[in-house]
Amino acid sequence: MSFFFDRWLRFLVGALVLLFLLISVQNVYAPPEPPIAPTYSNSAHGDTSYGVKRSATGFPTDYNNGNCAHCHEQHASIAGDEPLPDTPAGPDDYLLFSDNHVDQTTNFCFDCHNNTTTYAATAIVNRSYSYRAGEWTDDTLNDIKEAFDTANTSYHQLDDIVTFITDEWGYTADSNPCVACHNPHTVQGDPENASTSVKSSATRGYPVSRPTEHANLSTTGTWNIWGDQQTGETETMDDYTNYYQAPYRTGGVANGYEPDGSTTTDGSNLTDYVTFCQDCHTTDMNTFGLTNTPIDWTTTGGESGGDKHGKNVATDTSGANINLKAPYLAAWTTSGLVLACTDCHEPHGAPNNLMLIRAEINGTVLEANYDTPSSQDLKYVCNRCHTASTVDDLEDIHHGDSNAPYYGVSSCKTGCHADVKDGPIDCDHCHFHGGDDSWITTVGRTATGDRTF
Amino acid sequence: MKRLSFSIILILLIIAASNAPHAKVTGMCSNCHTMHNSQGGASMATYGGFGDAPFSSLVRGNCLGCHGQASDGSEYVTLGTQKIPQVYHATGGTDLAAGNFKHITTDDTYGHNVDFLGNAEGVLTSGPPGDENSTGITTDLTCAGTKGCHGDRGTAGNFDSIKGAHHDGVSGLCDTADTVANSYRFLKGVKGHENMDATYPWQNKDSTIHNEYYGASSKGTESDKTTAGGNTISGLCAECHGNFHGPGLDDITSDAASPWLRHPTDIVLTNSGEYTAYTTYSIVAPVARSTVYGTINTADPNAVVASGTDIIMCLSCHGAHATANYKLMRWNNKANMTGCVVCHTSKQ
Repeated sequence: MSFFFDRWLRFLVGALVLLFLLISVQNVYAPPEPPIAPTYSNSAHGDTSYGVKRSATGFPTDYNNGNCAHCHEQHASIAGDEPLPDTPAGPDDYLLFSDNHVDQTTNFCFDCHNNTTTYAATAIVNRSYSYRAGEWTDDTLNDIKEAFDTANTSYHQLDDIVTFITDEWGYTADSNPCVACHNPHTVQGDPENASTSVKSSATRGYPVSRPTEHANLSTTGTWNIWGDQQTGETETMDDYTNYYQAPYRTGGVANGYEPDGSTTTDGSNLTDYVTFCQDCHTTDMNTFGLTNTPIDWTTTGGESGGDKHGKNVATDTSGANINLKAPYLAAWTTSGLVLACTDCHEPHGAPNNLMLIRAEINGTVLEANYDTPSSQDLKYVCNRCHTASTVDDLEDIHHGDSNAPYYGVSSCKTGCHADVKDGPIDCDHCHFHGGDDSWITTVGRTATGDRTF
Repeated sequence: MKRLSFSIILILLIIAASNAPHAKVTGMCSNCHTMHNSQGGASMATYGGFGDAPFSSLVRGNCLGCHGQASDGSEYVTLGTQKIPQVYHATGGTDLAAGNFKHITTDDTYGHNVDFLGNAEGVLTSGPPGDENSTGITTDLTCAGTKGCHGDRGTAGNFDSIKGAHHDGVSGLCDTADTVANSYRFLKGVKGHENMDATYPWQNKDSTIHNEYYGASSKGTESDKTTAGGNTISGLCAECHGNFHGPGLDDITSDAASPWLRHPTDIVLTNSGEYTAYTTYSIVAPVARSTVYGTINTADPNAVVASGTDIIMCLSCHGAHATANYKLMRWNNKANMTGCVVCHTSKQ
């Protein structure tokens, strides 16, 4: 009896240990839990502990955080008077407490997102993408209104956004341009409720919603946030492409990779900003002064395809030949790499750079501002990922390397470099979204036909 | 034996019918009236203890006297065979559909400070907010008449404006509304279907048992000082709070449709998006109907809400008399958005 009992006991213990190990291994390799489904109450505005809270003369002080009334005045009147701001007096569109949108500097959202307590109970700080994802904490820009300021070198033009979205995807001429990208009722801070901090894997939130999905409001009643990768969703950069490599954060590899400082590099923790931005930027926007549109980030086919920084692949066979730096050099394969828009661009505005170019890219601040079009300043941007700092570097890329496109070309002073006395020529002759080297035909040379961006 | 059974059933039916609530007063005259306000030298017009007797029409109390007889009582008082709705009674129990004036003793901002309460409005001293009809009301709000809600708003005074309605009152379905007596709740010109449930009359008890309110579409009809625009409950509110209702410029919108400038009333609940998820009648945020249902307190249609047909009204958010909440809200709007998300279902 004892013999059988002992064997049975050993079997039972062994089975339990095996079961425990199986469960443990399964848990280790199980995919991470998706973020909590977005709702108003877990949004940056709707959270009852840190959500929106208005502080203004005539407005009660005891409304809970996140309450509708902080933004929406049901009657433009409380106790018979309109709470401040009341200039101009009277009700405003969407029941908002002030004008929905006037111009680049006067917008309802800016009434709170301006780092003041004029109407917000707590000064609202919002940092640049370079600060939050790139860990460039020296950046002094600290609110959204400031990011859109007309004194900046470049900024998303809010009036143009209104024009663009009008009658698209359920928007109207009355729509607030901020709402083109943000669903105010689900938008989350990223980092969440830590606006003076950089992103971390423990504080992730998801701030944007696709403009094209705004149309869903009139059908399903929802307008999802984009990038949170709920079960069954494909909203991160690794879904867009298998060839994403996250850039460094400020300080290099020791500080991890964008966007959250973790060791994740495949884009699985980064919102698919390409798909997001391309909702609009696959359109010809020349009427808005965006001469490099539409942007083709998806068409492959080598020199007849789209941008090589996108899904299209350079026809070179070695990463070294496009002079890549870390971490891209080691990650590069003949399948190429794909960048996210936010790897180079700020979403709102760039105080010192053209085309919303970030002040910090791939872990380092630009050597100098890219603020002069038709110059060689673009090299300050390119050299964050390519070895292209010096004149010699640039000459190697274009002429010196064995497979450089203009290897061994002579008579420089009568060709491309005629106007600059043999010095460097302007980068943007050839390097821009959708660019090729057809410019050189204007100076009597034969173009390679290569894609040059 | 059969005759006996029939007689018993008949008697029970008569008793039941006599106890059923009616707007039309029945019973002994002396239940409500006193000829000399004197019985053995004692005053007879003492109901509720409000105001100074004698009262007009020889009644034994003023409006609140009869409809607020016990400040610590319940929502109903039975007088003879007549059940009388109480609009001023103990808090913490069940309030009738329009609320409970007792809440005003907590905070002036919780209700309409009608004069009989003896608690004059101390906040809105310059009159009704949004008063585009220049009603002339300041802090002298009354239950009925030119400065009240009930009765004929073209006639001054509580008693004169409602005179006769209690004797001629139509109960239940009020879809004519051309006299005080045949209007919903003696609100002249307002159509609706009064909940006269035997057990829960005048209450919005649940999704099935509740009043039915009449509403209008396309911003309704502009009200004037004495006429409820479009015969709707919101139109009545707009007699004093006109800026918050109606098609006027900068009332609820500056043009034909969205974006709204103020929360819409007498507007059909949009038949798309988040609003389609409001399907079961909520007494937290009730809706009005585009036609006054002939049926009441039934699962279908009374418990059903249909976006694209049913209508947002003032009473979707507010109680008419007083509630336990700031600005007569049906829910504690300062603390939560319980009522907002009934319609705005995606804002949970």
